[in-house]
Amino acid sequence: MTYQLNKAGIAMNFDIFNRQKIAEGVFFNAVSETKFKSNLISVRFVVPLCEDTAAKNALLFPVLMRGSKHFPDIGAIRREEESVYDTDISDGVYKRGDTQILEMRMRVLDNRFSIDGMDITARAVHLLSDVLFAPVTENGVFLEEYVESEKQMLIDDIRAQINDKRRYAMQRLAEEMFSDDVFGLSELGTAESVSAITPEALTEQYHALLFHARVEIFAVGNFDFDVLRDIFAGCFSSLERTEIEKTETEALHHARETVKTVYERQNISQGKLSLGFYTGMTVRDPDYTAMQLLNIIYGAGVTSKLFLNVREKLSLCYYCGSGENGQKGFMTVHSGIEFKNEKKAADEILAQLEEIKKGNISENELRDAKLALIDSAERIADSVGNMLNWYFSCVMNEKMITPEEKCEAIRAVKTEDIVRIAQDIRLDTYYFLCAKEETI
Amino acid sequence: MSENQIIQKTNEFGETYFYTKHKSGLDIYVIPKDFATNYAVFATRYGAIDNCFKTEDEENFHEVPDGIAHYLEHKMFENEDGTDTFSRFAKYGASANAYTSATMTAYLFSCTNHLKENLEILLDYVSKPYFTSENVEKERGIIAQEIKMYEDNPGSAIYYNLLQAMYEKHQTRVDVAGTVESIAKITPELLYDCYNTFYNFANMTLCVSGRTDMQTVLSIADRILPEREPKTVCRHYHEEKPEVFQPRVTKKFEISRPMFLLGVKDMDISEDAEIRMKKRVAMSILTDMLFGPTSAFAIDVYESGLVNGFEASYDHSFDSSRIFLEGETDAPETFYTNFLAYLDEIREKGLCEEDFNRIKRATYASYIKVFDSTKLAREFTHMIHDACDPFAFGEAIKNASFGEVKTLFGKLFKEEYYAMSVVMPLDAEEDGKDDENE
Repeated sequence: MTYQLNKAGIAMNFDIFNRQKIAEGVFFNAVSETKFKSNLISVRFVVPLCEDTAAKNALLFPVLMRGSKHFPDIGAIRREEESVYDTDISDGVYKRGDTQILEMRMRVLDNRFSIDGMDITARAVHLLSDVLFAPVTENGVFLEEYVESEKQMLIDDIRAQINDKRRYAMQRLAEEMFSDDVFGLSELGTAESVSAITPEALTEQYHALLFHARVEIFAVGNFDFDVLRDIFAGCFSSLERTEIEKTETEALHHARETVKTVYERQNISQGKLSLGFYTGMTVRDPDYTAMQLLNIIYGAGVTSKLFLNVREKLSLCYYCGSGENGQKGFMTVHSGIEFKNEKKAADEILAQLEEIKKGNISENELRDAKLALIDSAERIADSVGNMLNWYFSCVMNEKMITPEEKCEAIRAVKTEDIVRIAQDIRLDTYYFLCAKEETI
Repeated sequence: MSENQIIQKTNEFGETYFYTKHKSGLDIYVIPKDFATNYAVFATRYGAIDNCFKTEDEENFHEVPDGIAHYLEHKMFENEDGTDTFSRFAKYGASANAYTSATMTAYLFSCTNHLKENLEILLDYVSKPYFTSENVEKERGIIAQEIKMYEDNPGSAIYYNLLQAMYEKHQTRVDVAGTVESIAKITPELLYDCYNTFYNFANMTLCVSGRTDMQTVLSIADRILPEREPKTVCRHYHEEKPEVFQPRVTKKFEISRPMFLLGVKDMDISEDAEIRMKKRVAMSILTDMLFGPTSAFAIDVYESGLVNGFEASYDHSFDSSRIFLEGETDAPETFYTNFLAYLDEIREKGLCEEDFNRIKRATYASYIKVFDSTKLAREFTHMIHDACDPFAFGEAIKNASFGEVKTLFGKLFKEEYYAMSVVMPLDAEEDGKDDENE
C-alpha cells in the first residue's frame, strides 16, 4: 500500500517517519533510528533550476560557510566543527529533475559518546543555524572579500569539470540531450554567470530563498526530535514567508525524430561513448519498478547484458554500464573504449537493447535483478545517508512508500511488464569523446 | 594458540569481535552486528609491491611482471565449470567485488540475505584458480582499457608520478595495474606461480561482519577450504634511501588548472607492529595539526585563494610511510615556497597543545563513526594486515601524547624528503613561469 502525502495539512506519521510543517513551505522530517553512533541533520533548499539563478544559488552556501555571527571566519567555523566531536558540516548543490537543491548537512556523534558532558547535538545545531541564518554582512550585504573568493573557486570548479573524462562525458551527454530543457543546465551555473554576480545580487538572492524557497529539514537517527523541530521553527518564525516557489519536474514527452549525434575531440588516450535514450518512465508511473529492473538487466552491474557482452565477451572495454533517471524519464549508457572500436561497441550496446525488446530475458536474469533491487531496499535502514535519500525521495515524489512495500512491488514485476515498457525506449542522443584527428 | 581456540574482545563502546586461527592457517575475524547488510572480505597479503619472491624452500627469487597481482585478481572470477562468479553471487542477491592495492588483494561481497551461501561461494571461488591461455588472453584487452582509463585521469597520473619521484627502487613505486607492455608478458604459468605462493591460507585473512557468529563461519571454512600445505613466503623489497629520488616531476594533461601532489617521504618504519600503530596515530594527529582543515596553513591557502581543494593525508604501515598534500593552484612553486616557510615558522614557534587536544578528540570521534556500518570489515582487514589489533587502535588514539607528536614533527620534515608532482594544462608555459604573475 502507498500513501499520498497530504499536501495541505502535512502531518504524517508512519512508524519511523514523521513529517511536520513548521512554517510556510518549511517541513521538518524526523526519521527515527537508534542503532547508529552518529546521526545526520540535513537542511535542503529545493528551488526551480533556472538560468538566472543557478549560479547565484550554487554560490550561496559556500559564501555562508565563510563566516557567521558567532563564528566570523572560516577558521572559527572549522575549529567549532572539530571541537564538536568532528561534526563535519558540508555544503552541496545538486540537480534533481528540474529542481536545484542546496544542502547543508552534518554528521553528529550521538550524545552518549560525549566524554566531557558536552551536548553534542545542541552545539552542532547552534553552529548550523548560525551559519545558515546569521551570515557575516556589512551594511546588510555579504562581504565582498568572501563573495569574490568563493566566485573564483566556483569558476575553477566549473572549469575543472573537464579533468575527469568519464564524468565529463556523462555531463556533456546530458547537456546535449537536454539542450532545449532546463535539465540541460548545470547546477553550478556557467563561469560567465558566476563571474557577473555582485555581493548585492547574492544577498538579494539569499533573502529571496529565505522568504520563498521550499525547505526540507531532515533529522535522521537518535534525537529529541521535538527539541530540534522547535529550534528550526524558531529560525523561520521571524520570516514572513509567502509565494513558495513550485518545485515540479516536467518529464520528457518523446525522443527526437532523428538521433542527435555529437563528436567532441580532446587530447586523450581512451574514447568515451555515451548514449542517451528516451524511456518516458518516471517515478510516478506504476511501471517504474519494471523500468528499474530493466536497467539492471540491461546494464547496471556485473551480471548485466552490457557487462557480459560488451566487456566479457567482446573485451571492448573495462566499463560499460547503464543508468536510468526517474525524474525526467531517460536512460544512459556510458563506456570507455578504443577509438577504433566505436562502431563495434555502439552496435553491441544497441543490439543488447533489442534483445530486451524481443523478450530475451531469462528467468535467472529477472530473478537476479529482483534480488539486487530488493537487497538495495533492505539496506536502507543500515545508513543514515540512505534513510535520508529514501524519505527525501518519498517527499519529493509525493508518494509515501516504505522499503518493505517497495520489495513487494519488485516481487510483483513480470517479464512481460519489462518487455512492454522496453518497446517505448528510443535512442535520442549519441555522444563520442574522441582523440584529436591527428592522434587517431 | 591451539587450533580453533576462539578469542573474544569487547571495546569500551560495546563493539565485539571474535578471532580464531583456522586449521588451514587462515586468520578469521567475525564482528557480529545487528545490521541488515552483511559484509565479508577474503584477502591475501599480496599486492603490486610483491613482484620478487620465493617460498622458504626455494633457492632463487622469482621476478614477475608489474601488474600481475591485479591481473590475477581479474582472473580469479573464472571457473573451470564455465560458471560466472558474479552470477553465482547474484543468485543470492549479493553484490561482489574485488580490488588490488600495493600490499593486498581483497575479494568481498555484501548481502542482506543468504550470508551462508554467499560465504561458501566466496571461499570456494578464491580457492579454485583456473587459468588457461585462452581466458588469460581474453582479459588483456579489458585490462588494457582499464590502464588507458587511468592514463587519461590526471589524479591517477599525478599519484604514480609522485611515487616514482619519491622512490627510486622500492616497489611501492609500481603502478598496481602495470603497463600495457608489462601485462603483455603475463601467462597462465606465471599466474599459477603467484597464486600458489601467495594464496596459501596462512598468508590470508577472512573478516565477516553482520548477523552471524564464529561457529557458522568456521563450519563453512571447514567444509569449503581445501587442504593446502602451509608455506612461508619470502619477499624481496629493494633497498631505498631516505631521500627522495627526484624532487620534481611535471606532466601535461588536457585539464583546466595545474594540480599538485606533494609527498613527504619517511623511511623510518619499525618492524614492531605496536610501534607502527603508535606512530600511525601520532602521524594522523600531526598531519591534521599542521595541514588539516583548522590549521593556519590550510586556512591561509584557502583565504588567499592560492589553492582550491587543499587536502592532506598520510600513510603509515609496514610498506610505506609518507604525508601527502594536494590541491589545484595556478602557482605550484609559490605553494612549495609557502610550505617551506610555514614549517620554519612552526619550528620556531612550536606546536600548540590546544590544537593537539581538539584534534585528538576529533580523531577518536571519527574512529567511533567507522563502527556505523558493517563495511568496517574492510577497515578491520587493513589493520589486521598491518598486524594491528583494530580495538587497540582506538586505545592508541586515546593514549596519544603531545610529546610523541612533537618528537615526530622534529624528525619528519627535511627538504631532501620532499618531492612534488605537478600536472599542467596543455597550453601552460614551460619552466615554472607560472609564478611570474604573482
